[in-house]
Amino acid sequence: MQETIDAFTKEYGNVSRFMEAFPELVDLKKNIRTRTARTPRSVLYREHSLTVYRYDDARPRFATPLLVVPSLVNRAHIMDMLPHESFVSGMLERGFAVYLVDWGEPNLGQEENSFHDYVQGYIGRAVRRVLRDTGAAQVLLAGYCLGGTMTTLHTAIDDDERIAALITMVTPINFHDKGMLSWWAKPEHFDVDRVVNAFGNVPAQFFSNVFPWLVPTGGMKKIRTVYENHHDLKFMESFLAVDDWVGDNVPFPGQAYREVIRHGYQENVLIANKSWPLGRRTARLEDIKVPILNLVAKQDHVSPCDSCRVLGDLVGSTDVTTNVYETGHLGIALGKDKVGKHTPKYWDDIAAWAKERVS
Amino acid sequence: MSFDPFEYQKKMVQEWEKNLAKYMDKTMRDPGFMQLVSRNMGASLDVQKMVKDQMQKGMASLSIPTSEDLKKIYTTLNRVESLLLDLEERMSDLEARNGASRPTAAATAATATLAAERPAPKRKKAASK
Repeated sequence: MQETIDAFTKEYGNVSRFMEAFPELVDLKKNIRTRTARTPRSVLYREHSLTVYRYDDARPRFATPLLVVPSLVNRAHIMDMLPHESFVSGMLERGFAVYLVDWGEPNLGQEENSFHDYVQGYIGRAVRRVLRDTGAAQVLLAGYCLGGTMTTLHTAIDDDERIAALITMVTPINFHDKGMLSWWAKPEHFDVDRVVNAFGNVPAQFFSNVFPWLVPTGGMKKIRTVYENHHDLKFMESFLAVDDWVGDNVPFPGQAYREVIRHGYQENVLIANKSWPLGRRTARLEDIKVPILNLVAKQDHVSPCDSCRVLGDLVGSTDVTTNVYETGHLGIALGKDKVGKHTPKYWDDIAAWAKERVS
Repeated sequence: MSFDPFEYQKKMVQEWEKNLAKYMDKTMRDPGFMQLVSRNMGASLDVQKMVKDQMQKGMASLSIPTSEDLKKIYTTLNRVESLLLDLEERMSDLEARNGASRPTAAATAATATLAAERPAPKRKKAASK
Protein backbone atom coordinates (compact mmCIF):
# COMPACT_ATOMS: atom_id res chain seq x y z
CA MET A 1 0.00 0.00 0.00
CA GLN A 2 2.83 2.36 0.94
CA GLU A 3 4.60 1.60 -2.35
CA THR A 4 1.43 2.45 -4.26
CA ILE A 5 1.13 5.75 -2.40
CA ASP A 6 4.82 6.44 -3.10
CA ALA A 7 4.24 5.65 -6.78
CA PHE A 8 1.37 8.16 -6.92
CA THR A 9 3.46 10.77 -5.15
CA LYS A 10 6.37 10.21 -7.50
CA GLU A 11 4.17 10.41 -10.59
CA TYR A 12 2.46 13.55 -9.27
CA GLY A 13 5.93 15.05 -8.95
CA ASN A 14 6.79 14.01 -12.50
CA VAL A 15 3.62 15.58 -13.86
CA SER A 16 4.23 18.81 -11.92
CA ARG A 17 7.80 19.03 -13.21
CA PHE A 18 6.58 18.36 -16.72
CA MET A 19 4.00 21.15 -16.47
CA GLU A 20 6.70 23.51 -15.19
CA ALA A 21 9.07 22.56 -18.00
CA PHE A 22 6.36 22.70 -20.68
CA PRO A 23 6.65 26.42 -21.57
CA GLU A 24 10.43 26.03 -21.95
CA LEU A 25 9.91 23.02 -24.20
CA VAL A 26 7.42 24.93 -26.33
CA ASP A 27 9.93 27.78 -26.61
CA LEU A 28 12.68 25.32 -27.53
CA LYS A 29 10.47 23.77 -30.20
CA LYS A 30 9.61 27.20 -31.64
CA ASN A 31 13.26 28.26 -31.85
CA ILE A 32 14.85 24.94 -32.74
CA ARG A 33 15.74 26.10 -36.27
CA THR A 34 17.99 28.81 -34.84
CA ARG A 35 20.09 26.03 -33.28
CA THR A 36 20.58 23.83 -36.36
CA ALA A 37 23.10 24.21 -39.21
CA ARG A 38 25.38 26.44 -37.10
CA THR A 39 28.79 25.35 -38.45
CA PRO A 40 30.32 28.46 -40.13
CA ARG A 41 29.96 28.31 -43.87
CA SER A 42 29.87 30.41 -47.01
CA VAL A 43 28.14 29.94 -50.36
CA LEU A 44 30.39 28.51 -53.06
CA TYR A 45 27.75 28.98 -55.75
CA ARG A 46 24.05 28.59 -56.50
CA GLU A 47 22.24 26.97 -59.39
CA HIS A 48 18.43 26.94 -59.52
CA SER A 49 17.30 25.68 -56.11
CA LEU A 50 20.69 24.17 -55.29
CA THR A 51 23.30 25.80 -53.09
CA VAL A 52 26.76 24.38 -52.50
CA TYR A 53 28.26 25.46 -49.20
CA ARG A 54 31.91 25.69 -48.33
CA TYR A 55 32.61 25.08 -44.64
CA ASP A 56 35.06 27.66 -43.42
CA ASP A 57 37.79 26.09 -41.40
CA ALA A 58 41.52 26.75 -41.34
CA ARG A 59 42.42 23.23 -40.38
CA PRO A 60 42.25 20.97 -43.47
CA ARG A 61 44.74 18.15 -43.54
CA PHE A 62 43.62 16.22 -46.57
CA ALA A 63 44.34 17.92 -49.87
CA THR A 64 41.39 16.03 -51.34
CA PRO A 65 38.20 17.90 -50.42
CA LEU A 66 35.08 16.09 -49.20
CA LEU A 67 31.87 16.85 -51.09
CA VAL A 68 28.76 15.67 -49.23
CA VAL A 69 25.54 14.99 -51.15
CA PRO A 70 22.38 14.40 -49.08
CA SER A 71 19.10 12.95 -50.28
CA LEU A 72 16.55 14.90 -52.34
CA VAL A 73 14.04 14.04 -49.61
CA ASN A 74 14.06 16.42 -46.62
CA ARG A 75 16.55 19.14 -45.97
CA ALA A 76 20.34 19.08 -46.12
CA HIS A 77 20.96 20.23 -42.57
CA ILE A 78 20.65 16.62 -41.41
CA MET A 79 24.38 16.62 -42.16
CA ASP A 80 24.89 19.60 -39.80
CA MET A 81 22.10 19.22 -37.27
CA LEU A 82 23.50 20.45 -33.97
CA PRO A 83 27.05 21.39 -32.93
CA HIS A 84 27.59 18.04 -31.22
CA GLU A 85 25.57 16.05 -33.78
CA SER A 86 27.03 17.26 -37.05
CA PHE A 87 28.59 15.06 -39.71
CA VAL A 88 30.05 18.19 -41.30
CA SER A 89 31.61 19.35 -38.05
CA GLY A 90 32.89 15.84 -37.34
CA MET A 91 34.62 15.70 -40.70
CA LEU A 92 36.10 19.19 -40.25
CA GLU A 93 37.56 18.11 -36.91
CA ARG A 94 39.11 15.11 -38.61
CA GLY A 95 40.94 17.23 -41.14
CA PHE A 96 38.68 17.34 -44.19
CA ALA A 97 37.86 20.42 -46.26
CA VAL A 98 34.07 19.97 -46.39
CA TYR A 99 31.55 21.09 -49.00
CA LEU A 100 27.82 20.35 -48.81
CA VAL A 101 25.19 20.23 -51.54
CA ASP A 102 21.88 21.69 -50.38
CA TRP A 103 19.20 20.75 -52.91
CA GLY A 104 16.77 23.37 -51.62
CA GLU A 105 13.14 23.37 -52.80
CA PRO A 106 12.74 22.71 -56.53
CA ASN A 107 11.06 25.49 -58.49
CA LEU A 108 8.46 25.00 -61.21
CA GLY A 109 11.19 25.00 -63.86
CA GLN A 110 12.76 21.90 -62.30
CA GLU A 111 9.64 19.79 -62.70
CA GLU A 112 10.98 18.25 -65.91
CA ASN A 113 14.50 17.75 -64.55
CA SER A 114 15.43 14.12 -64.98
CA PHE A 115 17.42 12.06 -62.52
CA HIS A 116 20.25 12.42 -64.99
CA ASP A 117 20.18 16.21 -64.54
CA TYR A 118 20.84 15.65 -60.87
CA VAL A 119 23.40 12.86 -61.17
CA GLN A 120 25.44 14.33 -64.02
CA GLY A 121 24.42 17.97 -64.22
CA TYR A 122 24.17 19.29 -60.69
CA ILE A 123 26.61 16.91 -59.00
CA GLY A 124 29.02 17.23 -61.93
CA ARG A 125 29.12 21.00 -61.62
CA ALA A 126 29.47 20.79 -57.84
CA VAL A 127 32.50 18.53 -58.27
CA ARG A 128 34.10 20.87 -60.83
CA ARG A 129 33.46 23.94 -58.69
CA VAL A 130 34.91 22.32 -55.58
CA LEU A 131 38.02 21.31 -57.52
CA ARG A 132 38.40 24.85 -58.84
CA ASP A 133 37.93 26.28 -55.34
CA THR A 134 40.50 24.01 -53.75
CA GLY A 135 42.94 23.53 -56.62
CA ALA A 136 42.69 19.78 -56.03
CA ALA A 137 42.67 17.22 -58.83
CA GLN A 138 40.01 14.98 -57.30
CA VAL A 139 37.28 14.99 -54.66
CA LEU A 140 36.24 12.50 -52.05
CA LEU A 141 32.53 12.10 -52.82
CA ALA A 142 30.13 11.16 -50.02
CA GLY A 143 26.40 10.51 -50.39
CA TYR A 144 23.67 9.96 -47.80
CA CYS A 145 20.63 7.80 -48.52
CA LEU A 146 19.34 8.67 -52.04
CA GLY A 147 22.29 11.07 -52.22
CA GLY A 148 24.46 7.96 -51.99
CA THR A 149 22.62 6.38 -54.90
CA MET A 150 23.19 9.56 -56.93
CA THR A 151 26.88 9.77 -56.04
CA THR A 152 27.31 6.08 -56.88
CA LEU A 153 25.80 6.66 -60.32
CA HIS A 154 27.87 9.82 -60.79
CA THR A 155 31.04 7.89 -59.98
CA ALA A 156 30.04 5.25 -62.55
CA ILE A 157 29.95 7.91 -65.29
CA ASP A 158 32.99 9.84 -64.06
CA ASP A 159 34.90 9.76 -67.35
CA ASP A 160 37.24 12.57 -66.27
CA GLU A 161 38.30 10.68 -63.11
CA ARG A 162 37.50 13.54 -60.79
CA ILE A 163 36.36 11.20 -58.01
CA ALA A 164 39.19 9.85 -55.86
CA ALA A 165 36.99 7.65 -53.69
CA LEU A 166 33.35 7.16 -52.80
CA ILE A 167 31.67 7.05 -49.40
CA THR A 168 28.08 5.81 -49.33
CA MET A 169 25.99 6.06 -46.18
CA VAL A 170 22.70 4.17 -45.72
CA THR A 171 22.46 4.09 -49.50
CA PRO A 172 19.69 1.98 -51.04
CA ILE A 173 20.93 -0.13 -53.93
CA ASN A 174 18.57 -3.12 -53.86
CA PHE A 175 15.17 -1.45 -53.78
CA HIS A 176 13.29 -4.74 -53.56
CA ASP A 177 13.68 -5.40 -49.87
CA LYS A 178 11.44 -6.28 -46.94
CA GLY A 179 10.95 -2.61 -46.05
CA MET A 180 7.56 -0.91 -46.24
CA LEU A 181 8.65 1.63 -48.88
CA SER A 182 9.51 -1.18 -51.27
CA TRP A 183 6.08 -2.75 -50.72
CA TRP A 184 4.17 0.49 -51.15
CA ALA A 185 6.02 1.42 -54.34
CA LYS A 186 5.20 -1.81 -56.21
CA PRO A 187 3.66 -1.03 -59.61
CA GLU A 188 0.38 -2.74 -58.67
CA HIS A 189 0.07 -0.47 -55.60
CA PHE A 190 1.54 2.81 -56.79
CA ASP A 191 0.97 4.53 -60.12
CA VAL A 192 3.79 7.05 -60.12
CA ASP A 193 2.67 8.61 -63.43
CA ARG A 194 -0.66 9.53 -61.90
CA VAL A 195 1.09 11.22 -58.96
CA VAL A 196 3.49 13.23 -61.10
CA ASN A 197 0.82 14.14 -63.69
CA ALA A 198 -1.43 15.42 -60.91
CA PHE A 199 1.18 17.40 -58.99
CA GLY A 200 4.23 18.07 -61.13
CA ASN A 201 6.81 18.46 -58.37
CA VAL A 202 5.59 16.02 -55.73
CA PRO A 203 4.52 18.27 -52.83
CA ALA A 204 6.07 18.14 -49.38
CA GLN A 205 2.69 17.25 -47.87
CA PHE A 206 2.69 14.01 -49.83
CA PHE A 207 5.80 12.85 -47.96
CA SER A 208 4.75 14.25 -44.60
CA ASN A 209 1.51 12.24 -44.89
CA VAL A 210 3.21 9.03 -46.04
CA PHE A 211 6.48 8.71 -44.12
CA PRO A 212 4.94 8.59 -40.61
CA TRP A 213 3.25 5.34 -41.64
CA LEU A 214 6.68 3.68 -41.83
CA VAL A 215 6.51 3.66 -38.03
CA PRO A 216 2.75 3.74 -37.31
CA THR A 217 3.13 4.06 -33.54
CA GLY A 218 5.78 6.76 -33.86
CA GLY A 219 3.40 9.54 -32.84
CA MET A 220 2.49 7.87 -29.56
CA LYS A 221 6.10 7.01 -28.84
CA LYS A 222 6.98 10.69 -29.41
CA ILE A 223 4.60 11.86 -26.68
CA ARG A 224 5.96 9.30 -24.25
CA THR A 225 9.56 10.22 -25.09
CA VAL A 226 8.91 13.92 -24.43
CA TYR A 227 7.19 13.17 -21.10
CA GLU A 228 9.95 10.83 -19.91
CA ASN A 229 12.85 13.06 -20.95
CA HIS A 230 11.53 16.59 -20.48
CA HIS A 231 14.05 17.25 -17.69
CA ASP A 232 17.03 16.57 -19.96
CA LEU A 233 17.25 19.71 -22.09
CA LYS A 234 20.19 18.44 -24.16
CA PHE A 235 18.19 15.34 -25.08
CA MET A 236 15.12 17.46 -25.83
CA GLU A 237 17.12 19.81 -28.06
CA SER A 238 18.37 16.83 -30.07
CA PHE A 239 14.95 15.16 -30.14
CA LEU A 240 13.11 18.30 -31.23
CA ALA A 241 15.74 19.12 -33.88
CA VAL A 242 15.32 15.69 -35.48
CA ASP A 243 11.53 15.83 -35.10
CA ASP A 244 11.49 19.22 -36.82
CA TRP A 245 13.67 17.92 -39.65
CA VAL A 246 11.52 14.80 -40.13
CA GLY A 247 8.40 16.92 -40.49
CA ASP A 248 10.05 19.55 -42.67
CA ASN A 249 9.73 17.77 -46.01
CA VAL A 250 10.48 19.43 -49.32
CA PRO A 251 8.89 18.91 -52.74
CA PHE A 252 10.53 16.28 -54.93
CA PRO A 253 11.19 17.24 -58.56
CA GLY A 254 8.53 15.49 -60.65
CA GLN A 255 10.39 13.76 -63.47
CA ALA A 256 13.25 12.74 -61.16
CA TYR A 257 10.69 11.25 -58.75
CA ARG A 258 9.10 9.31 -61.61
CA GLU A 259 12.50 7.85 -62.53
CA VAL A 260 13.54 7.00 -58.98
CA ILE A 261 10.28 5.13 -58.35
CA ARG A 262 10.22 3.42 -61.75
CA HIS A 263 13.88 2.48 -62.19
CA GLY A 264 14.62 2.08 -58.49
CA TYR A 265 11.65 0.83 -56.51
CA GLN A 266 9.72 -0.84 -59.32
CA GLU A 267 12.26 -2.17 -61.83
CA ASN A 268 15.17 -2.41 -59.35
CA VAL A 269 17.57 -1.83 -62.23
CA LEU A 270 20.73 -1.78 -60.14
CA ILE A 271 20.15 -5.42 -59.24
CA ALA A 272 18.42 -6.54 -62.45
CA ASN A 273 20.87 -4.88 -64.87
CA LYS A 274 23.66 -3.62 -62.56
CA SER A 275 23.09 -0.28 -64.26
CA TRP A 276 20.77 2.72 -64.30
CA PRO A 277 19.60 4.52 -67.47
CA LEU A 278 20.61 8.18 -67.40
CA GLY A 279 19.37 9.95 -70.47
CA ARG A 280 21.38 8.88 -73.46
CA ARG A 281 23.88 6.91 -71.43
CA THR A 282 23.82 4.17 -68.85
CA ALA A 283 25.60 4.20 -65.52
CA ARG A 284 27.12 0.75 -65.00
CA LEU A 285 28.17 -0.22 -61.51
CA GLU A 286 31.01 -2.34 -62.89
CA ASP A 287 32.59 0.89 -64.20
CA ILE A 288 33.20 2.05 -60.64
CA LYS A 289 36.84 1.28 -59.93
CA VAL A 290 37.60 3.77 -57.15
CA PRO A 291 37.82 2.76 -53.48
CA ILE A 292 34.42 2.63 -51.79
CA LEU A 293 33.47 2.85 -48.12
CA ASN A 294 29.89 1.67 -47.65
CA LEU A 295 28.37 2.52 -44.25
CA VAL A 296 25.22 0.59 -43.42
CA ALA A 297 22.83 0.87 -40.46
CA LYS A 298 21.50 -2.38 -39.06
CA GLN A 299 18.29 -0.89 -37.60
CA ASP A 300 17.45 1.20 -40.68
CA HIS A 301 13.76 1.08 -41.55
CA VAL A 302 14.08 3.46 -44.53
CA SER A 303 17.06 1.91 -46.37
CA PRO A 304 17.14 -1.60 -44.91
CA CYS A 305 20.54 -3.07 -44.14
CA ASP A 306 20.35 -5.76 -46.83
CA SER A 307 19.34 -3.18 -49.41
CA CYS A 308 22.53 -1.19 -48.81
CA ARG A 309 25.02 -3.95 -48.17
CA VAL A 310 24.96 -5.36 -51.71
CA LEU A 311 26.86 -2.47 -53.29
CA GLY A 312 30.21 -4.17 -52.82
CA ASP A 313 29.07 -7.19 -54.84
CA LEU A 314 28.08 -5.13 -57.86
CA VAL A 315 30.85 -2.61 -58.45
CA GLY A 316 34.05 -3.11 -60.43
CA SER A 317 36.22 -1.77 -57.60
CA THR A 318 38.40 -4.30 -55.77
CA ASP A 319 38.71 -1.99 -52.77
CA VAL A 320 35.29 -2.00 -51.11
CA THR A 321 34.86 -1.75 -47.36
CA THR A 322 31.40 -2.36 -45.92
CA ASN A 323 30.82 -1.39 -42.29
CA VAL A 324 27.56 -2.34 -40.61
CA TYR A 325 26.71 -0.35 -37.50
CA GLU A 326 24.18 -0.83 -34.74
CA THR A 327 22.22 2.30 -35.49
CA GLY A 328 19.21 3.63 -37.38
CA HIS A 329 18.76 5.58 -40.58
CA LEU A 330 19.97 8.90 -39.14
CA GLY A 331 22.60 7.49 -36.80
CA ILE A 332 25.61 7.95 -39.05
CA ALA A 333 24.71 11.57 -39.85
CA LEU A 334 24.13 12.42 -36.19
CA GLY A 335 26.88 10.26 -34.70
CA LYS A 336 24.45 8.26 -32.54
CA ASP A 337 23.98 4.56 -31.98
CA LYS A 338 20.68 2.64 -31.83
CA VAL A 339 19.95 3.75 -28.26
CA GLY A 340 20.73 7.39 -29.03
CA LYS A 341 24.15 7.48 -27.40
CA HIS A 342 26.75 9.65 -29.11
CA THR A 343 29.61 7.76 -30.68
CA PRO A 344 32.56 9.05 -32.71
CA LYS A 345 33.09 5.59 -34.24
CA TYR A 346 31.47 6.17 -37.64
CA TRP A 347 33.34 9.39 -38.33
CA ASP A 348 36.63 7.97 -36.98
CA ASP A 349 36.23 5.01 -39.33
CA ILE A 350 35.68 7.34 -42.30
CA ALA A 351 38.78 9.37 -41.44
CA ALA A 352 40.94 6.27 -40.92
CA TRP A 353 39.74 4.75 -44.19
CA ALA A 354 40.25 7.98 -46.16
CA LYS A 355 43.74 8.53 -44.70
CA GLU A 356 44.90 5.30 -46.33
CA ARG A 357 43.50 6.17 -49.73
CA VAL A 358 43.57 9.89 -50.42
CA SER A 359 46.16 12.55 -49.78
CA MET B 1 2.62 -6.73 -2.03
CA SER B 2 4.04 -3.72 -3.90
CA PHE B 3 2.18 -2.35 -6.86
CA ASP B 4 3.26 0.62 -8.91
CA PRO B 5 0.24 1.44 -11.09
CA PHE B 6 2.26 3.79 -13.29
CA GLU B 7 4.97 1.25 -14.06
CA TYR B 8 2.16 -1.22 -14.79
CA GLN B 9 0.46 1.33 -17.07
CA LYS B 10 3.78 2.05 -18.81
CA LYS B 11 4.29 -1.67 -19.48
CA MET B 12 0.70 -2.03 -20.70
CA VAL B 13 1.08 0.91 -23.07
CA GLN B 14 4.39 -0.44 -24.40
CA GLU B 15 2.79 -3.86 -25.00
CA TRP B 16 -0.18 -2.23 -26.68
CA GLU B 17 2.10 -0.15 -28.92
CA LYS B 18 4.09 -3.23 -29.88
CA ASN B 19 0.96 -5.18 -30.75
CA LEU B 20 -0.59 -2.23 -32.57
CA ALA B 21 2.61 -1.83 -34.62
CA LYS B 22 2.51 -5.55 -35.51
CA TYR B 23 -1.16 -5.33 -36.46
CA MET B 24 -0.67 -2.23 -38.60
CA ASP B 25 2.34 -3.75 -40.31
CA LYS B 26 0.30 -6.88 -41.08
CA THR B 27 -2.62 -4.77 -42.34
CA MET B 28 -0.46 -2.60 -44.56
CA ARG B 29 1.16 -5.69 -46.07
CA ASP B 30 -2.22 -7.14 -46.98
CA PRO B 31 -2.68 -6.96 -50.78
CA GLY B 32 -6.39 -6.25 -50.39
CA PHE B 33 -5.71 -3.27 -48.14
CA MET B 34 -3.07 -1.93 -50.52
CA GLN B 35 -5.49 -2.27 -53.43
CA LEU B 36 -8.06 -0.22 -51.53
CA VAL B 37 -5.50 2.46 -50.66
CA SER B 38 -4.21 2.49 -54.22
CA ARG B 39 -7.72 2.88 -55.67
CA ASN B 40 -8.56 5.71 -53.27
CA MET B 41 -5.29 7.49 -53.94
CA GLY B 42 -5.78 7.07 -57.68
CA ALA B 43 -9.26 8.57 -57.50
CA SER B 44 -7.99 11.53 -55.41
CA LEU B 45 -5.15 12.10 -57.86
CA ASP B 46 -7.54 12.04 -60.82
CA VAL B 47 -9.72 14.65 -59.08
CA GLN B 48 -6.61 16.70 -58.32
CA LYS B 49 -5.58 16.59 -61.98
CA MET B 50 -9.06 17.49 -63.12
CA VAL B 51 -9.22 20.48 -60.79
CA LYS B 52 -5.75 21.58 -61.92
CA ASP B 53 -6.72 21.31 -65.60
CA GLN B 54 -9.98 23.18 -65.09
CA MET B 55 -8.18 25.92 -63.16
CA GLN B 56 -5.66 26.25 -65.98
CA LYS B 57 -8.46 26.56 -68.54
CA GLY B 58 -10.38 29.03 -66.39
CA MET B 59 -7.37 31.22 -65.76
CA ALA B 60 -6.31 31.06 -69.41
CA SER B 61 -9.78 32.23 -70.47
CA LEU B 62 -9.40 35.20 -68.12
CA SER B 63 -5.91 35.90 -69.51
CA ILE B 64 -4.38 35.26 -66.10
CA PRO B 65 -0.98 33.56 -66.14
CA THR B 66 -1.30 29.91 -65.20
CA SER B 67 1.20 27.70 -63.41
CA GLU B 68 2.09 26.23 -66.81
CA ASP B 69 3.01 29.74 -68.00
CA LEU B 70 5.10 30.27 -64.88
CA LYS B 71 6.69 26.87 -65.42
CA LYS B 72 7.80 27.94 -68.90
CA ILE B 73 9.31 31.14 -67.52
CA TYR B 74 11.09 29.27 -64.73
CA THR B 75 12.39 26.66 -67.18
CA THR B 76 13.83 29.38 -69.40
CA LEU B 77 15.36 31.19 -66.43
CA ASN B 78 16.89 27.95 -65.19
CA ARG B 79 18.35 27.27 -68.61
CA VAL B 80 19.84 30.78 -68.78
CA GLU B 81 21.30 30.42 -65.29
CA SER B 82 22.92 27.11 -66.21
CA LEU B 83 24.32 28.59 -69.43
CA LEU B 84 25.83 31.49 -67.49
CA LEU B 85 27.44 29.09 -65.06
CA ASP B 86 28.79 27.06 -68.00
CA LEU B 87 30.21 30.21 -69.57
CA GLU B 88 31.76 31.22 -66.26
CA GLU B 89 33.50 27.86 -66.08
CA ARG B 90 34.75 28.07 -69.64
CA MET B 91 36.12 31.57 -69.08
CA SER B 92 37.78 30.39 -65.91
CA ASP B 93 39.38 27.50 -67.84
CA LEU B 94 40.55 29.88 -70.57
CA GLU B 95 42.05 32.26 -68.02
CA ALA B 96 43.83 29.37 -66.36
CA ARG B 97 45.25 28.24 -69.72
CA ASN B 98 46.29 31.80 -70.68
CA GLY B 99 47.79 32.30 -67.27
CA ALA B 100 49.95 29.15 -67.73
CA SER B 101 51.61 30.56 -70.90
CA ARG B 102 52.63 33.78 -69.14
CA PRO B 103 55.14 33.93 -66.25
CA THR B 104 53.35 33.37 -63.02
CA ALA B 105 53.35 35.97 -60.26
CA ALA B 106 55.59 33.71 -58.20
CA ALA B 107 58.08 33.35 -61.05
CA THR B 108 58.16 37.13 -61.55
CA ALA B 109 58.74 37.68 -57.83
CA ALA B 110 61.56 35.09 -57.82
CA THR B 111 63.19 36.80 -60.78
CA ALA B 112 62.99 40.16 -59.00
CA THR B 113 64.66 38.67 -55.91
CA LEU B 114 67.45 37.14 -57.95
CA ALA B 115 67.97 40.50 -59.68
CA ALA B 116 68.22 42.22 -56.30
CA GLU B 117 70.82 39.74 -55.08
CA ARG B 118 73.03 40.06 -58.19
CA PRO B 119 75.84 42.63 -57.74
CA ALA B 120 75.16 45.82 -59.65
CA PRO B 121 77.10 45.92 -62.92
CA LYS B 122 79.97 48.43 -62.85
CA ARG B 123 79.12 51.51 -64.85
CA LYS B 124 81.52 52.22 -67.64
CA LYS B 125 82.98 55.63 -67.34
CA ALA B 126 81.71 57.82 -70.07
CA ALA B 127 84.44 58.34 -72.61
CA SER B 128 85.79 61.88 -72.23
CA LYS B 129 85.47 63.88 -75.26
